[in-house]
Amino acid sequence: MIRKFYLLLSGIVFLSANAFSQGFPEGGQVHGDFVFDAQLYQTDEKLGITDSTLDGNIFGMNAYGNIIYTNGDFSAGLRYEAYLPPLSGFDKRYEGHGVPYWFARYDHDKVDITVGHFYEQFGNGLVLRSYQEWALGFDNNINGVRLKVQPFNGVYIKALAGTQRFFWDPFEDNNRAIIKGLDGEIYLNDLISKWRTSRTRIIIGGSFVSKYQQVTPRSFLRDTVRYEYKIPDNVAAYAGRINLLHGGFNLNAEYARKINDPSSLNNFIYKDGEALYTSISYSTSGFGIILTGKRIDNMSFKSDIYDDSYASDINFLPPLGTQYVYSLATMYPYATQPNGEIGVRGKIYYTIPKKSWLGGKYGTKFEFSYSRINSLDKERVEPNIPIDSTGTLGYKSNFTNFGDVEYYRDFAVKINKKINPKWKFILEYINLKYNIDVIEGHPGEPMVKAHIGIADVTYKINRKNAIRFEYQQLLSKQDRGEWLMAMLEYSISPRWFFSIMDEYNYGNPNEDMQLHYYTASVAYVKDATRVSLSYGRQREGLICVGGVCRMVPASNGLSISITSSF
Amino acid sequence: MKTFNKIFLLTAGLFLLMTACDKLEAPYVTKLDKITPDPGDETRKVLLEEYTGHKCPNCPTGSKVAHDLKQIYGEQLIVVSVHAGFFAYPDPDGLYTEDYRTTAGSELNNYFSIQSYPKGLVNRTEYNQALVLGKDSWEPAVNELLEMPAEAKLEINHEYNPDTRKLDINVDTEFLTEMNGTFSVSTYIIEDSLVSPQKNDNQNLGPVPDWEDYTHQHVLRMAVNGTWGEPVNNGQSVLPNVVYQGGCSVTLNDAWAAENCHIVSFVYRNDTREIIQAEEHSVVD
Repeated sequence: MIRKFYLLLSGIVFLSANAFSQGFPEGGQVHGDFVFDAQLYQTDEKLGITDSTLDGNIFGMNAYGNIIYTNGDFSAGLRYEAYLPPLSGFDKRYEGHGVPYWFARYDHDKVDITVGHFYEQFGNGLVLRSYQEWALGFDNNINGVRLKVQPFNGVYIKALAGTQRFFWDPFEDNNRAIIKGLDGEIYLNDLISKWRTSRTRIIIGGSFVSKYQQVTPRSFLRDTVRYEYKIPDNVAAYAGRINLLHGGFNLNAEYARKINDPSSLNNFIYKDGEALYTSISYSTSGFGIILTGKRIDNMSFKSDIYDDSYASDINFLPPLGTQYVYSLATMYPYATQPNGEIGVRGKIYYTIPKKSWLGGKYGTKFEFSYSRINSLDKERVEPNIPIDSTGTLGYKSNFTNFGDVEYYRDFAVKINKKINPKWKFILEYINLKYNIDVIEGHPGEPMVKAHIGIADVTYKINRKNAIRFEYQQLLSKQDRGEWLMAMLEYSISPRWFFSIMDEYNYGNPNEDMQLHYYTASVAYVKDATRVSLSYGRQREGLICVGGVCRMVPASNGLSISITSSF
Repeated sequence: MKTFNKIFLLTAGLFLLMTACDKLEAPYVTKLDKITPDPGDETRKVLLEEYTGHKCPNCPTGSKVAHDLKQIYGEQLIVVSVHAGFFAYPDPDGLYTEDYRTTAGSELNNYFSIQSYPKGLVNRTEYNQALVLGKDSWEPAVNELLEMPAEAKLEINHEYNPDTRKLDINVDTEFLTEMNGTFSVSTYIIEDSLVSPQKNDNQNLGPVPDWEDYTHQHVLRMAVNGTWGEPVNNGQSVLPNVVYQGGCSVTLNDAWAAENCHIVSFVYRNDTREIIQAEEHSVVD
């Protein structure tokens, strides 16, 4: 792989130097970044971690380094990754090391060409998004060619073709799809001269993505009779979008559709998929409001129809639930349901002005948010065919109706207040309902209803030293019951951070699991390098980024993390 | 630039034409010929290892697929249910106190990196470039392998003493063609008809979410000669018409019902772990 990269790099540098010798500057720059995360695991009988379950796997390590070379309009780079073996909770198929990402790029005037690996997103990602998320262990970069041009003023076109990364598996024998995509975006105010000075700005766009995978059709049993699915080799998805801006007003809407795409994830149904994502916001000094609506209907779009994991996703379905930050608030994160969901979300920001009676000297910030996500309202396609039956259209659904099954609800209010130069605090209350049956696949388990209270207080001792204290409490009668969390952090700016934390599951209905999850951490920062060490227990749970989640098993041990950039 | 724009737009148009999409019309499935198993002395038999756990809600659906396959393929399909991983952990109290985990099962679970359940291995052989298969792939994988000619023949001879519960097993392996490489024979004990609770999310099959009187079938109880068995040759070619003999013994655990236990033996290639033949015999004739 590395040899291929160097050959490619040498070739492109040579060609570029000849073809664009005029204006190709001498010299260049190298920059990059590096991450090393490792953990030493130990047994913990109360968590069910024994020598037998560890089975010799007492160490895990994920690491990568990006190196990017730029010289004028030309850039090239690579990323080396090592998982020896992967940290607990990361997909074991990552085990190994190598260079899964390298590229060469020439970006001059209105033409931008990339060969090798690249990341790309069309619109909101409803039909195509390739990205990397280190915390999730997710990387679906595309290996191929990409061309971006600006043929007219205000018109941007992207075209690409390639195959996605799937762990370390090389692309061969149709093990995943070849993806071809075209995206156009028009800034109408730049294209139409009369609109150039208008306060209203309009951007429209459209995308078309086609995947090609020729697979052996699978058969299935129905009452001991074998049937074989008809599988389309080419599946297309397309989308249209608009972005309208006027003063503080912003409308962003995108609708996507996908033709028949039977897969393991949708139980091999042949219904067309569709997705609608809309966001309307208004903001002015001290006030903002965002309203978001989303409807997803059979919109999983994967490089391999037989893979039901996130790893082969071609598209991205933006999350609707609030992305919380505090640890107990992240205990029940919402994971997007690609087979179907409908929901709305609203958020209001308001800052009480400075020097008012309620605002005080520094003002007071308030946030209110509410979200609601339900199942689709499904009906049978034929009276005698059950909903979601394999080898059929699956179901019909009314576009605007909410289904009966609640997936997620939350209401949150947050106050952020600086009292004086020494003291500031954040208070937050969250009320949520979480369908653990659907979201985590725990059938029959009751809806989790939780109240979460958070207090985050910072006392600045002097210019360099500060103490921060967090207290959180989660009240629930379902799942693992009640929790409290306390954390004390001492920072000596800008170098040192020390913290101790305990999450205590005092209300677990299983008394043996009423455990303390304690952690002590220290971090040191110098320039662009950060080293941190932590020791303690980690509770089992979901980690979600952008509605994509992975399960993290409980663990106990010593962790080290190093990040650096240059 | 204008010329370039024209070329680019023309290329983009052609590109769009090339990106086809296949719109299908009903019916979306094709009925296949009925299967007529043709068992015989030299018929290939296939081993399906089903990875499961009693707290895995999706697993009864997987077991139903395995059961249906067994109905169709009869003796040509041998099923071993490996209870391992997160969903197989027993609870200290409550419904799920049974522990069907085994040392061999946990080792296999780790070795094959089973991440979610139910999953299966069919002869530990890749199907569509995947080794660990979802339940939808078991049938076509089994079907594909059964279409291949047998490469070996296994014969299980055993003696069981019900008083001492000692079980002596001899496995004769006869290769049907000359083959290179090292081969090993593994022998497992499985048990049927174990009734204990199972999580379930498929109300078409049984009670949800807890199916309290669920009958577990083909449960792996132990690997008699170790997880990876014992080699039958030492890297030299195996020859046809030569019987390679192997033997092992075990005293059955008192908790196991001997009349529900079966011996499962299989021969596999050491380098790829691919199983080339399998055989099953009940402990009590």
